[in-house]
Amino acid sequence: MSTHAAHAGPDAEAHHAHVAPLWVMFGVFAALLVLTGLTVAAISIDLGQMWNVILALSIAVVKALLVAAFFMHLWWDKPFNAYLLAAAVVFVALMLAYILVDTDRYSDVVGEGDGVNALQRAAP
Amino acid sequence: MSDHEPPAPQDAPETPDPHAQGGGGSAHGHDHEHHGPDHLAHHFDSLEQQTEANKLGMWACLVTEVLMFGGLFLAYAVYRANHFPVFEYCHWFLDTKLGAINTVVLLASSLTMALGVRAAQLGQQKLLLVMLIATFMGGVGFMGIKSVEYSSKFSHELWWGQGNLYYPVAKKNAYYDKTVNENLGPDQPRQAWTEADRTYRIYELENYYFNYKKGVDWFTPHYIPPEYRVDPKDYAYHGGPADPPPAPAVSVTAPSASARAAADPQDDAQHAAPQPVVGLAGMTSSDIGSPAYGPSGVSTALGDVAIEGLEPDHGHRTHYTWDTLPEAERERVHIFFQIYYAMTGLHGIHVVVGMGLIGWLIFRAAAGAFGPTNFDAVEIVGLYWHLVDLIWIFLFPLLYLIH
Repeated sequence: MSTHAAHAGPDAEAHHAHVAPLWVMFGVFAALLVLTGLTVAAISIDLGQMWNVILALSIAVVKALLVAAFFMHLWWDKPFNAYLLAAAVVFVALMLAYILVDTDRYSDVVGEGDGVNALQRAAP
Repeated sequence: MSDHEPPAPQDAPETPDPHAQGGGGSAHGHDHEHHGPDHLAHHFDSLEQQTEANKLGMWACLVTEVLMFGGLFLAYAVYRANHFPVFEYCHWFLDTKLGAINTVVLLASSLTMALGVRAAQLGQQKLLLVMLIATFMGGVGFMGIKSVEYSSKFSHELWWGQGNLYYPVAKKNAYYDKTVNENLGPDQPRQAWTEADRTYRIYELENYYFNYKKGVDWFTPHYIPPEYRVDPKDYAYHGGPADPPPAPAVSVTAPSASARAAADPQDDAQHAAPQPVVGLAGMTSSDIGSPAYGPSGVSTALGDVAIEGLEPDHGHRTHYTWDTLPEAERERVHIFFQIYYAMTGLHGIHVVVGMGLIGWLIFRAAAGAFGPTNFDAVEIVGLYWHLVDLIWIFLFPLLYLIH
C-alpha cells in the first residue's frame, strides 16, 4: 500500500480540520459557569424532591450538551460520533428506566429489607 | 492501481457538511512516489481519514465509559428511589462549596484543553504547551480538593465498607470475629462494637463536626464563622462537667458494660439520660446532649435539627437526622458512602489517568511533536478529558445537591 496523501501546500494542511472559534470556546465556558451557579442556587428553591432533581438534571443535561457539542467538537464533526454518544446515553436510559420500573415491584414479597419476607411475616 | 480505490471514503467530497473539511480532498495529489508525513500511518489514505478514524475510535472508547458509569448511576438511582431519607441525611456530609469549586476547576481545565486542541491545530506550539500545563494543573487542583474532602471523611470514620461508622453493629462484630478476634488469645479482650458506641459517635459527628451546608467557608471544611466561635473554656456542656474530660485514644473496643446497658439511643439526644452512656472519647452522652456548637466551634445545622427532631423547613422540606431516620434506613446509611466512593472514586481514577495522558502530551508538545496536521493525540486526549468533565457535571448535582 502506498501512502499518498501528503499535501504539499500549507493551505491544505491548515484546513485539515475545523478550528473552533475562540468566542465560542469562551462563550461556552461562561455559559457553563452561569449554569453551575444556577444549579447551586436551585437547591434553595423548594420544588419538592422530584422536581428539584429534575431541575438539577435538566441543568446538567444542558451543560453536558454544551461540553459535548463545542468542547468535544461534535457540532462540527461528522454526525456519526454524535450518534455514538446518543446511542450510549439511550442505552443507559433504557437500563435505568426498566430497572427503576421494576425496583419496587417485589417489596411486598421480600419485605422491608429486614430479611423477613411476607410468608414469614404471615406465619403465626 | 486497485489500492488506489479502497472502499473506505477516500476523501472529503462526499461529506455534506461544509464545515467538516475545508476541501482538503481536492488538493489530493495521487502521487505514488511521495510518501505521506511520518505521522500518517500506512493504512490510511489521508490525514483527514486518519483523524476521523482516530476520533471514531476514541468515541467508541467513550461510549464504553458512559456505559460503565451508567452502572453506577443505576445503583445510585435505584438506591435513591427506594431510600431517599438516607440520601437526604447523607448529603449533609458533602461540602457543596468544595464540590462547586471542583466543578469550576474541571470546567476551566476543559476550556484550556479545548484551547490547547485549537492551538495545536493552528500550530501555536507555545500556546499549546501552556494550555496543556494549565489543564494538567486543573487536574492537580481537582484531585487536591477531592483529597481534602476524602480525608475529612476518613478522619470521621466515614469509610466505605466495614470501616464506616454507620455500618450495622452486628455485621461489624461478625467481621471483627472473623478477622481480629480469631487471632486473639483466650484471655485477651475481644474487639467488639456496641449500639451505644455507634450512637454516641454519630451524635458526636452530627453535632460537632459537619456543617458543610452553612457558613462561609470556601476553603476549609472546618472553618468557623466568627459569630459561632466559642472559647473552649467557656464551652457549655449541658449537664456535663465544666471542663472537657481528657480524651483517651479512640479504639473500637467496647467501653464498659454499663455503657452497653444504658443504650437507648432515643433518650440520649434530648433529655439527659439518667445513666449517661460513656462514649469512646471519655465523654458522656449527656455532654453530647444538645450542644449549640461543638468543641471545634463548628455549629451544625444538623445538630440544631437533631435536638428538635424532624422539623419542617420551608414548606414540605425536611431534614433527616439519626433520630428521625426510619429505623430500617439507619442500617443502610453506610451504603450511601459506598455509592459515593464508588462514583467519585472511579471518576477520580479517570482524572488521574487523564492527567497521565496530558503529562505525556506535555512532553511530546515540548519536543514539538504536534502541528496543524498532527494533532490527533491532543484531540483524542482532549475528548477523554471532556468526558471526565461531563461525568462530573452529573455527579455534582446528584451527590452534593440533594434536596
